[in-house]
Amino acid sequence: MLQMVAYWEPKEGTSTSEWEDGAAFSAQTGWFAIADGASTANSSREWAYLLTDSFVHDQPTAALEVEDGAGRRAFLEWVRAARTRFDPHSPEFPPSRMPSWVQSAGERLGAHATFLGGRINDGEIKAVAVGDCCLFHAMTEQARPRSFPLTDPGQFGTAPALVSSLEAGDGRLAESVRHYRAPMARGNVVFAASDALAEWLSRGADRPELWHALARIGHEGFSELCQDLRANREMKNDDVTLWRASLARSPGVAV
Amino acid sequence: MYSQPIDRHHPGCILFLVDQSASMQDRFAGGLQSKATALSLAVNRLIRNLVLQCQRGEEVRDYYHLGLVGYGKSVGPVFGGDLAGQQLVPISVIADYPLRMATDSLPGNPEVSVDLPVWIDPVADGGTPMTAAVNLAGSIIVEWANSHLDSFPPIVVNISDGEATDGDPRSIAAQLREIRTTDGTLLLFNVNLSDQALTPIEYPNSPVGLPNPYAIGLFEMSSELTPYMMAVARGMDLPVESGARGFVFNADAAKLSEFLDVGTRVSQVADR
Repeated sequence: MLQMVAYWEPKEGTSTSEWEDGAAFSAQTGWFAIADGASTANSSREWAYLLTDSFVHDQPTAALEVEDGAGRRAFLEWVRAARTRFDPHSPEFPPSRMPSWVQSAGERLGAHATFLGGRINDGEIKAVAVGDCCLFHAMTEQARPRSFPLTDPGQFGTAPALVSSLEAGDGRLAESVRHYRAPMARGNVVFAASDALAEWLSRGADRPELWHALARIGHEGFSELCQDLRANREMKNDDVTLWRASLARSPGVAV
Repeated sequence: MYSQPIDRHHPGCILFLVDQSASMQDRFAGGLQSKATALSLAVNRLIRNLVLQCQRGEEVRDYYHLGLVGYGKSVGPVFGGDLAGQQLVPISVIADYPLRMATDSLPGNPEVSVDLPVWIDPVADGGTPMTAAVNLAGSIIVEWANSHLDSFPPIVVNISDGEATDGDPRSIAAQLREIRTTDGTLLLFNVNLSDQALTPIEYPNSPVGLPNPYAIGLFEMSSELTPYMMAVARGMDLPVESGARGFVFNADAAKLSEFLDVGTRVSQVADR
């Protein structure tokens, strides 16, 4: 039985409504996505929400293909389709309290987000990523989880690749798309995290007890973990998202 | 030290000291613009960019308090219009109240025009009362620092084309640099604008080789760049070595823009 759950914490000092990551998943279909809106860009929170919701709803199977660049092209096509649904002036968005010159400058610069999405299906996990949202695939209880797309804490920086609401950067986007494919056996646990938590997890990836704890953590424990890490300055003060999927060891039994 | 991230509860403070003396009407580095025009353009662009960095969601958040002090015929705050007389202003309020809107070319794409809010106009009149300006900066900043003890330390950027006409500013500048928060002492940076197209001296870490006592004085007045600013400068391929000071002598327009970019970088502004 496939189980999925997601936890999130807004930046310290901000409210839940200011959380600028996005997360969506369906344990029925196996599709999942997380995104991290770039705070310095206009409407990036809404862009992150739209990307994750659309990915899980659209189920762009071709975008997960690894071979021959087909997945890369299909991912770009899916992004282009998602853009047509993105309207910064939508009444669904909170009304702007910015002066018009800031609003128009922000729209010219576009909305941006890092993105990680994929599917667990038929004993396999496939994922596509742009930027520094990371997936950690724990295949056994003792081995270090596989990490994707970043594999080392030193790879986290301040300027990750981003999915833009504007077409202008599509050439660079195409070069930034990464794919992952691996068997998903019973007992495997997969985590996806936005960059602040992903960086911390990457530094502690060799500690099996860390992954055991995360495999069982609940909402309250996740909130406490984030607060402790921030208080100890082990994790930067950023919006944090953790998605977890687990495949029971035997049918009908939770991990 | 110099590591406190900027957020709404820990805003940053940047105060610009702007030379408005008569000599600022001279052409800048052999170009067509006057130094006063080039300086006001650079400051307006920087404020615009700082505002855009502070937009989050549907609002501009008060990650900075900014001030503009002019010195020339008189010494005092130079915000105009609805902000007239104000010394340090939350950046969301600054965003709301430019003097007017002008147009500017898009960086990297000069054929595209974009809005450029104007908060400061070129002025060139009177002497160079830099010492009085530094003194006023202290009285403005000390109150802010005392009420924002956990914030990144204040940054004061002094931009001038000549020597002070009201005495040696070094001792009052030393006092200014003693203002502190728990994250470090105030950062005072200086840029000297040149009439002629001379080779700029950028971010020196020693007074050796500086051309005259005036340049040495500005060097002595200048704080060292923070480690993060050093990293930013290196990322821009600027020549910075250990102990580099926030000081550029004989700057042209490009060096002035670079200087303002490097000298206003704090460690982190509430997430990317």
